[in-house]
Amino acid sequence: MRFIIGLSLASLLAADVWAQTPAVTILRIGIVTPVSALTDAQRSTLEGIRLGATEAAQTAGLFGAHVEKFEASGDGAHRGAVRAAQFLSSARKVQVLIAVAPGDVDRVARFAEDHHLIFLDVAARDMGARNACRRHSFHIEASELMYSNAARQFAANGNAHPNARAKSSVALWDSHLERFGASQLNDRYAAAAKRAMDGPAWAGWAAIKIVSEAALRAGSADPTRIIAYLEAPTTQFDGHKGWPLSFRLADHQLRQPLYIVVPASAASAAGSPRVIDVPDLRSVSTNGPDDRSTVNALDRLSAGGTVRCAWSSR
Amino acid sequence: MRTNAVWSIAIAGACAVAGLTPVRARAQAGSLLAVSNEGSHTITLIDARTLKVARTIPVPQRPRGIEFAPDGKSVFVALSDTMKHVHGSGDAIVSIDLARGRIASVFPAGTDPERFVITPDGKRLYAANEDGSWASATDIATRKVIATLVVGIEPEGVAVSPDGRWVYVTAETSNSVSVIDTKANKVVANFLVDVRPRSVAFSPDGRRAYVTAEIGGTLTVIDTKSRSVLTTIPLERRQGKPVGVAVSPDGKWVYVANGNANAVSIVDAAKNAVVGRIPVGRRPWGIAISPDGRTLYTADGLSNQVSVIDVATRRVKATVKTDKQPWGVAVSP
Repeated sequence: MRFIIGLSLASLLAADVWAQTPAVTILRIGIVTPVSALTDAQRSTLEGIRLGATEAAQTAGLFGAHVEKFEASGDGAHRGAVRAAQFLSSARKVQVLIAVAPGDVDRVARFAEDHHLIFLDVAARDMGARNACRRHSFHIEASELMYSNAARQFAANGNAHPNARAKSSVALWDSHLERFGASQLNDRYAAAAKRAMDGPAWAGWAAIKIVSEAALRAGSADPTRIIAYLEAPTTQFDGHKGWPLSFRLADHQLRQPLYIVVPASAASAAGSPRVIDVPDLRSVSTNGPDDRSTVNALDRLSAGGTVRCAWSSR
Repeated sequence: MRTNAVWSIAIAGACAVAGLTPVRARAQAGSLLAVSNEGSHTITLIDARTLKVARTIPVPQRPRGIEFAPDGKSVFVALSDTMKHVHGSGDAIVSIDLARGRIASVFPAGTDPERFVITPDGKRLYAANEDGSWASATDIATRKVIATLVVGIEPEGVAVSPDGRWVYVTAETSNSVSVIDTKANKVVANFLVDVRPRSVAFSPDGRRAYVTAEIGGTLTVIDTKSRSVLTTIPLERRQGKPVGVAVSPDGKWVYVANGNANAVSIVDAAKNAVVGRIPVGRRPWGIAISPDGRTLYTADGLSNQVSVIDVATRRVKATVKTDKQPWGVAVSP
């Protein structure tokens, strides 16, 4: 058995700093990485996680709390990811698990469910991960259905359907985004990772931000309390996408806008790609009937396939 | 060294436009508006009585935060260059001498300063260094950074209490407000507020602080004695993306600029409730109120204008064209 361990520890505890809401917590997050060489997307995800952990540590430190991140990979055997998860759970006492490789998501999510840990899905788009209805799993990555619905919504407005032929694509994030602090986040990631922030990177960063913020707001690193906070209807997060992000109770999918990226050569503005929000929440928010308008618009990205897990009807 | 060289050129360039008529040696209370135009890298000075542009002053970098000095003789502006995560040659806060109409002093203020405040005694300025995740305190007389303080990630809003003792700094990514004791120059408290806090303003008696949350779509009311959240007030169905906030001189009203709603929310400070709204231009971010409390001004970023609001009638009585993308607006004290 071979484990590769990385540690990022909040060291900003200042004795004279008075904290209001949060009790002193130590949130430990375990990252399961593949033994084989990381793909480009996995490298992005891991760098996003590392940036998120550094930032979460600074925020937690303001309140005398800690965020610790551990990385482990198995030995490459079939159960390698599970063994890494076991190590992180037993030796590092993590409360949260993340798998960087899509192929490890199901096994690690199942392990987290069995051991009452939180699992954050940053890599799997397939509906199987959602249909499994695991109470401890939360999906930061968008589902395949959301990607295809975003493309369909974009095409319905008279645009060419995003595909290889149209040379445009649907993305979770793009390094050319600027509004709502996106340029600041892109700059921070580029400075730390020496590469441009893409969808997998955003998913990794957002996962850490969301779970560490939830622990701070809940005043606890206990998975049960964090889950209660994540599921609460009033809970919302900022992911620099310009609109509040929240988890749908029915399937624990993060509601979020996606982007159509039209390359520079195909875009009217030369030089940089055009990045278009889907849905266009600006018009929804101005014209919508109530403060659920944007939430409803985001839910429509999952139209035609949202699973309703048993816990949501209790 | 490079910084000094660049700023020598910048000041020389600013002197070149100094042949324009000086506005006045000391702006009378409420008589002058200063607007930072981030799209055109200029400062627009507006005569508040005639509502005419008195002068447009070029600055060498992107201007955002803008404040008058307490003595009314100069305007301070935060400038950011395009170099990220480093204290680039263009990152600074400058003071513009109103009598001469040009940049008089350059203050190093850490990397990427966005908003800042000047203490009531005029001796120090505190700046939020957005991409550095800290706040810096600068001694105005010596022009030296005297403290760099760790706050939340992506700091932005800065306000000083009326007695000058406390500085509040918001952090957009961390959703936090850090409290700096200006005597000790230390962060002495932190608390969480709603999602993506942008601006903060104190009530005139210093007992309350008001924090806008852009993504939360709310105004958080802080009890400054207990440093706790009293209440969080939803604005514009939480969809308005509030940014700027100003408190009336009598402390009775709080005005919030909602960038996405193109409107100002009026909050009754006694009831902590929204009691009205005033439609203005597109994407109002900056907001300021006259010392007599009769006139409110918003910097409408996508309309390239300042809206002038009559507080009594709660209506826009005039608009004044500015340069591109006005960001902040300040009124002479």
